[in-house]
Amino acid sequence: MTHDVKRRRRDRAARVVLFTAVLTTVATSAPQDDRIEETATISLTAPEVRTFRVVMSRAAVDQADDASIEVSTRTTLGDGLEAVVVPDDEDVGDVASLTSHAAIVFTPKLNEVCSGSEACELGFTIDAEGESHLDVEVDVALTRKGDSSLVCPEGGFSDGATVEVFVGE
Amino acid sequence: VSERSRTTVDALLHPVVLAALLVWLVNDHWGKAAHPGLVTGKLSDVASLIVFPLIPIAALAMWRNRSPSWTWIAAWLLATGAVMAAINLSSAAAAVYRIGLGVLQWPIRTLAAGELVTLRPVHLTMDPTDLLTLPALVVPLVILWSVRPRD
Repeated sequence: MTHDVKRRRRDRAARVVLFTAVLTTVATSAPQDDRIEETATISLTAPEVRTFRVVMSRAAVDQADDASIEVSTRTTLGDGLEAVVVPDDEDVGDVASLTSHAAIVFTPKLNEVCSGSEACELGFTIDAEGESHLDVEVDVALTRKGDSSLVCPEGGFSDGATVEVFVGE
Repeated sequence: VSERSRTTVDALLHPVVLAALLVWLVNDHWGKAAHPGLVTGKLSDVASLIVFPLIPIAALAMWRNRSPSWTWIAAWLLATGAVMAAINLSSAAAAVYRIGLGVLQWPIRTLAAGELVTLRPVHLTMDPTDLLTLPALVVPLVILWSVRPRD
């Protein structure tokens, strides 16, 4: 093999390595997780029982890796004002008492509580006791994890992936 | 490619650089997910600090057919270190990195998907202890010195 042929091969190999290094640099970090979120505020005057429903489209359920339903209040509880949040489906979570310093977070496993082929609906009841006004905030977030590789490029939710919160009367 | 610039380009074929590139690739796309922890967390940082600085240096040598000056090389290595420090210490710099790399990834993700995909910033965990890997920048300097043209 002549010196020129060897040299050309080395040059070609160097270009391949350069190209690979550039691609590795560009692909070194995965796209951020994609989230769809929805928030609703529910105003109650205790004693009062209110319901709310979290409705996720089928596309959202199929594409989401994680779901969280966070129920919180800034109203000071205690002194006779108490409130509990009760999921309709016990697989979503247990009955939990609202406190003014920490949110209740339900993290349902969507493949267990949203089986079927239709949109998924999760119902909740807020039961407030006492004689006072109470504002409750519901934050729903669905997360789809970013792909760790550019080979399977789209880790985001599609347009049909939606989540809504409906508050009962 | 002239003989003088070839020596710089040859740095890309140095066994240490090839090993670092392989480690960077495998660790980013498998190691970190399969074995999350300190070792895999820092391995890509070290490997990238060995390979990344050589990209523009070798590219310049290929396309301009001459090796960059040692002043240029030193400045580039320092700039690489400064960027690494900035994205781990400053939220603003991290945001620029997240969006900038997201923009660079967008055409590749669009091509791979066969349709327009949403532009998404990349994930970055700011970790000041990543700065402990900065001495790895000495490795490309040593490699470039070892393959330097000898007049």
